Amino acid sequence: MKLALLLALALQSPPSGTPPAAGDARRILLELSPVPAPPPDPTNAVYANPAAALLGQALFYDARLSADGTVSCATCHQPGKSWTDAKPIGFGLASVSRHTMTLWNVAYNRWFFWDGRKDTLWSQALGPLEDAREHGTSRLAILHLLAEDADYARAYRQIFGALPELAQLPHEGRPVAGEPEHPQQLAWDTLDVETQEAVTRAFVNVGKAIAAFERLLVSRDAPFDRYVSALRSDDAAGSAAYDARARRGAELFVGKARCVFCHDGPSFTDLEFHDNRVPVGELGGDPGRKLGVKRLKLDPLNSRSVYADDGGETGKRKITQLVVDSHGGKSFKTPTLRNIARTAPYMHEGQFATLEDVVHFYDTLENATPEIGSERLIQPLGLSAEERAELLAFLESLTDESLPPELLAPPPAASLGR
Amino acid sequence: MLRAPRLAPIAIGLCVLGAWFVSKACAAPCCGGERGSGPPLDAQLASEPSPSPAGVPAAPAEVPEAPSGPPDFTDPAWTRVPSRAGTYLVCWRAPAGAVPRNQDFDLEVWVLKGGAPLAEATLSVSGWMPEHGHGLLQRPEVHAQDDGSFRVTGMRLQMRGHWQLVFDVLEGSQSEAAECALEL
Ligand code: HEC
Ligand code: HEC
Repeated sequence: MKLALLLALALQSPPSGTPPAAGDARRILLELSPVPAPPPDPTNAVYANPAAALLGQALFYDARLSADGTVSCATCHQPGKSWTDAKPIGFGLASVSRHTMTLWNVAYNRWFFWDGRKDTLWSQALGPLEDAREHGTSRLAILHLLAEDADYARAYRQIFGALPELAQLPHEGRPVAGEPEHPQQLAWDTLDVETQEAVTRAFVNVGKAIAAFERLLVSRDAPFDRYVSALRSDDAAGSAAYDARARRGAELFVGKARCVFCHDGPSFTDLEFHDNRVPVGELGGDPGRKLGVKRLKLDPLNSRSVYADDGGETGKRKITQLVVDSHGGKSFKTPTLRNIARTAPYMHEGQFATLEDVVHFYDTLENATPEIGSERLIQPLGLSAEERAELLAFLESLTDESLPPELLAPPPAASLGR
Repeated sequence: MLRAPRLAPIAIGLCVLGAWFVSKACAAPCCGGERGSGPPLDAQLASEPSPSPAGVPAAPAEVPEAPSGPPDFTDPAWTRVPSRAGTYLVCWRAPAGAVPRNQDFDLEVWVLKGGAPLAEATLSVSGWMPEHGHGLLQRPEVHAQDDGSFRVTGMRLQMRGHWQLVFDVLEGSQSEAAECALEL
């Protein structure tokens, strides 16, 4: 059956050559570009609010949102490194256990993190802030900062209304699951339920502002996009302007190499989870999506919670009807391939240093984990050296790091809440 | 309502693969019809499984509802799938038009027995990718409607490629599946 599948796919893909893609390859390529506007987020009332995005941008770059004033989101998601840190494993106050993901086109995602344990962009942002290895701060500390910084206080009030009354509240405090004696939990316990609720709501608003900023990080004008646009309008000269190797690589990507089954759509991800049989990294033992689903369902800040601005409507289906993928292996989110040539190293533990290593892996499955209920799609490809180079040229052609320069640094404080 | 497909994936795989080659020539056909020696299906209905509307973007969006009784299942918006032993004919359509890839959609399903709608049945719907070895990531919900049809909500076929839709009909203690290939 595998052979038959390979045969079918081989027959499907037109012979590689310099002319622009035709037939099935052309049809599929047209589905991979252009990048549409990011989808609306009904769980976040300010997802498209420019003032919220500006506040979110300031918070994103602000290291005061950390236990010792050294870590901001931009410590790990650096604008000059395509919103990653170029390390195999992220490091904030301490080492985390996975590779830092890029933020390019993040607003198109359905689930967040390698294991999808978050299902909104705003709720995702709240994770690292209170993670002891990342920012190591707490919701109470963040709210005190917002109240004490006149620019933040003004912006917050303008967008969300008044902050909760903080004067009598401890300077630190957050819920710490499973650690009733944790000093942060003990401080949190001194608040009555109503105050806890108000503080959490304001903390959620911080996440919603950051999400509005992240939504602006869209890559959509790569050489590949220009090629598809030329292909769509039968513009031969435009098509010819695209590197011939990349052109054949694109056909491999949607044909013989079968990448498009998972890396699909204009973000080059199906937004879901697979076991691509990548060798286990040094940390090992990562259960991936299986645990991610459990954690999402238990998360008090998920899209089914009262903190979702649509009253949990979206989350009802998204979470209640969610089932763990039925192939038994460990699976991880299919990452976007936009700007992939700029986000080395690769995979959830940074297992591969270069794109060459990635292509070599898919080609040979060297050191692959055993095929236990995993994606049967993942089979050795047997590419020629030329074909590997073509696939690489195609991946390179997904590069477009252009953004308005003002997004690459904190905004002027005086511009907040104006 | 979803049960894990208990069908031998290999057998489906071969069936689907066969259908796939065919589907290169004509629009994705429905391969569910291993038509056994069961009772003859309603003569009004074409006995051949109809082509599925998947991937045909301009599929007619709405079939005008007759004021009473079941709709005209010979309309091209409907896919008709005989169950394995031919006891039932499952007729389904996506009311919003073509079946989308990786987006939520609903289904309207009628289960016919001897040509007449069977409302007393329990229906469950699942999806399976035989070549990949996995199914849906979201459990569809089946709601029985007053008119004898079923509304299936929260369907999502997350990947490009070859899908098998499985309609499990449970009537009393008898269960029979109707399977339908879909190329996305
Ligand atoms: C210590 C480094 C570090 C810091 C600080 C950090 N991140 Fe991350 N980020 C990571 C790592 C590592 C992952 C993947 C973690 C996982 O899957 O468990 C990640 C994942 C993400 C994702 C998920 C992307 C996707 O496609 O699913 C988003 C969004 C994100 N971070 C935004 C932020 C924001 C916003 C902040 C600041 C509030 C932040 N990060 C702070 C390292 C960091
Ligand atoms: C079965 C689905 C599937 C197929 C087919 C597939 N991938 Fe992947 N890809 C994934 C998943 C899942 C990951 C993340 C795996 C992990 O880190 O555990 C990934 C990771 C990657 C990465 C690293 C991205 C990053 O940011 O770290 C690259 C590059 C990549 N794939 C390229 C390809 C290419 C090229 C092909 C075709 C030869 C391909 N993939 C085929 C699912 C797939």
